[in-house]
Amino acid sequence: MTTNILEKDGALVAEFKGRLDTAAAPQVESEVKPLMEASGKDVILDCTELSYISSSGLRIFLSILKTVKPKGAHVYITGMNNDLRNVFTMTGFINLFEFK
Amino acid sequence: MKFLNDLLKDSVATRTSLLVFVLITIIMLTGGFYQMKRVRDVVADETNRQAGRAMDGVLADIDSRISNVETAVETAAAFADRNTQDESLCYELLYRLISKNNDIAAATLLYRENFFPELGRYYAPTVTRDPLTGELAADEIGGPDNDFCYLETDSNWIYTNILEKGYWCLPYVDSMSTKRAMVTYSVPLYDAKDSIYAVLCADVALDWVRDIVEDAKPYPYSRVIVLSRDSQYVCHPEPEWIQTVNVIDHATQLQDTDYLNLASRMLSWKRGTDTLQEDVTYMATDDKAHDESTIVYYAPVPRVQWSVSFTMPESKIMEQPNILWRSMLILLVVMLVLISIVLNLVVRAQIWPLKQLALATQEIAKGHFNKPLPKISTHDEIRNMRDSFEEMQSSLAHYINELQVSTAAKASIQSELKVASEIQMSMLPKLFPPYPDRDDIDIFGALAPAKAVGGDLYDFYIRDEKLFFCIGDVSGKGVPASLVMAVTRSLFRTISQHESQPDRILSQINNTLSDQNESNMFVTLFAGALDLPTGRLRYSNAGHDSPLLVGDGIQLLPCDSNIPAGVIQNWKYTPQETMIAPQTTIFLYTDGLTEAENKQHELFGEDRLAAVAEACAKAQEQKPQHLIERMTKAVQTYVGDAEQSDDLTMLAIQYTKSMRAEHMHRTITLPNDVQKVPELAQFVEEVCEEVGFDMATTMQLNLALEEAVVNVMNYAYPSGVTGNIDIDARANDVRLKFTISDSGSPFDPTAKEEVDTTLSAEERSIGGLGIHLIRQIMDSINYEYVDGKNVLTLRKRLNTQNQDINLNL
Repeated sequence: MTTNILEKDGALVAEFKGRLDTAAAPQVESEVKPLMEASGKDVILDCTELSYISSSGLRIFLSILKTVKPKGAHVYITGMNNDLRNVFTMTGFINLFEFK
Repeated sequence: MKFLNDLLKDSVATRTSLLVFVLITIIMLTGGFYQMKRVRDVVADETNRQAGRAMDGVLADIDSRISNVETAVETAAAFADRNTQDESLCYELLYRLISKNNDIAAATLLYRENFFPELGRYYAPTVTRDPLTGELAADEIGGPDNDFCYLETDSNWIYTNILEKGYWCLPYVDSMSTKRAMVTYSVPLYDAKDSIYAVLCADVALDWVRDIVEDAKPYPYSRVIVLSRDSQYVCHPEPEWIQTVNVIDHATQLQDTDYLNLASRMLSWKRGTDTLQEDVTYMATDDKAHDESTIVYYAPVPRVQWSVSFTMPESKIMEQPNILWRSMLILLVVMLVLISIVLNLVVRAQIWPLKQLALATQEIAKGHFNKPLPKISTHDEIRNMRDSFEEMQSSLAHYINELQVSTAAKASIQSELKVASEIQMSMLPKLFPPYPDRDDIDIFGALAPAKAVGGDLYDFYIRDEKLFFCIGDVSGKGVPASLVMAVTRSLFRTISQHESQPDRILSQINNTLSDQNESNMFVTLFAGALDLPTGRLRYSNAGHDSPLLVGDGIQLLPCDSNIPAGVIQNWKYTPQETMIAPQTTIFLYTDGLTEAENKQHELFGEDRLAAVAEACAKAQEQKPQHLIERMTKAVQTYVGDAEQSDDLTMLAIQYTKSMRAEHMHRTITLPNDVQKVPELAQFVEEVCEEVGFDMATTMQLNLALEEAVVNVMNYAYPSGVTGNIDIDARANDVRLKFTISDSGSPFDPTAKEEVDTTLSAEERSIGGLGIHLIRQIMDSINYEYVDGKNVLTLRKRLNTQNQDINLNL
């Protein structure tokens, strides 16, 4: 599981690659800290290469949303496959995030 | 008569007028009668006085005329000697006597036999006065031609031979020419030897008597009657009666006592008045009747022994009073009619407001409460009544208004209660079979409330491969019981959502119900949780009837009765458990079944219940619907026409689990370390591969297993304590089953409350997602704490078409 943070067109982009399971969660959580610390910039979570997400991963996504949104910025998810979208649907997360 | 009756009843005015009319009539008639009697008395007195005065005049007149004649005759007799001795001189005496006295119609000297022998045996010179001309003429009525002696005959005429002084004879009718009523006064003449030699007679015509009496009679219509001592009439309106009719004979003949008494009194020379019912004195024996009452006033003339009387017809006397009486009566009638009319009008005017009031009240009675009452300006009883009515009207309106409001409120409560009852009944599972796609459970229930809304309840539902069920009976009946029932049922549902132990479910229900239970309602409740994979029944009882287990035989499920819920707070309900063998039916009921009464008020009883159940068991017919239908039929037959006395509720649950052949069995044991999750993923993928799940399903199962196992890793063992987690995967034709077990402290992940996936980001909490994902992905999740181990079972149906068909068989 790797996480890449980069800035693109004034927005912060996090590229996830691999399985975001409970075992990987602590590491990912620390790697996405810059997203939460940046002020006022939109955040794009790029899930094109993400193959799996457990509730631990969902919690990290929710934490990002809860920190960024109050600053007036948006959190977008891009490139998510159908299996992951199912998970988002099952948990109601599909209503919380904006998808591109 | 009926019309009059109706009239009197219908109108106060008419009744009052009539009453006053009758009273006034009686009073005035009484007064009038009294007054008339007085008037009549006064008139009668006056008549009597007048008659008396007239009578006095008549008597004086007659007496004076008679005494004049007497005096003249006596005087002539005194010096008769000078003339009587010579036949030539005797006429001179007679002439002198008759000429000086106009009342004398004839004067006669009757000599003794052979006084003048040469002049015949009886010499009787006489001088008569012509009644028409008044000329005097001499005659001789004795002598040779008249050979009889007046003195010696015993005639009415002269009693000189007996009497020695002047004598008035009885009246007679002159036998001579004139046929007049006459009376004669005779005086004897004595010679020197004191013997009678002749009698001097003076005949008096009685015409004047009649004239005197006629002149003096008090009323023109009075009739005059004079009786002489021989009971014959001297004077009478009918001239032919004079000297012909004997009054005593007449009265006797008529058999008229009044008349006879009157005649007797008159003939005994009394003075007085008598009343005759009929004027018989005037009446001829064969004459027409004078049937009117007549007053007779009579008085004697002693000198000639006559009795003079006036008759006065009462009708004539009372003519004026009667006219007066008639006019008075007419006046009375006119007055009464006027009084009645005026009175009627007055009373009508007086009660007019009352009538208006009555009309207004009728309107009020029709429901027009705002109808104004008529204004009444007086301050009398009617006004008081009107005011009372007004008060009544306003309080009526007020009351009706309140009534309407409360009725409407009541109606709305009623309809709401009906809706509540419907809702409450709809809460109970009614569709049978409830789980047509399950092969491990069959349920049938029936609830027949005694009243519209009942206090019995049952409920069941499956959560996490556990059948939660309960049956209960709320004390009392009707709406209050139904409310408690609804509450109880809701409590059962909500509490069992996150509490799988029946004893704890009961404890919580008990605590909630008994908290501030002011109406002291309680409920007997049996709660059970049947673990469908294993057939383990955990149950607890709150004072309810023990269920029957109907399998190969029948058996009463041993129950601690505890106490009904809602009685004592914090009661510790005892947990009990047993294993239910496949095909066994748990039969639950309320006391409405055992206490169903027939007409003799005998109870159906547990023995009959057991007998029916045993019959089913022997016939191997434990199917819930069949069991309940047979039980219902038995009760209905027993009860007959008697009214259902209590709610009747039955619930039958048959455990129909059948063992299936296993195709696959793999296990893995992991320590409580989340870094071992990839190993778990590897294991799950191998299992999925073997049972033929696709990639997407595999990923989902991976997710579910990770969430379940991580949950155990995080919570089963205290921090820093190492423990193992066994994961066991098995598959048969129908489904894949994962069993995750650990030896950590008891922890039921299924008892966690569901997360709300509809909340916004700000409202969402971080936790609770794992168990939610497991429920979403797996077909069932089941937790059991058995033999010191947490056992979590996850099932996923194999999506093979053929197997689905098999399942439905």
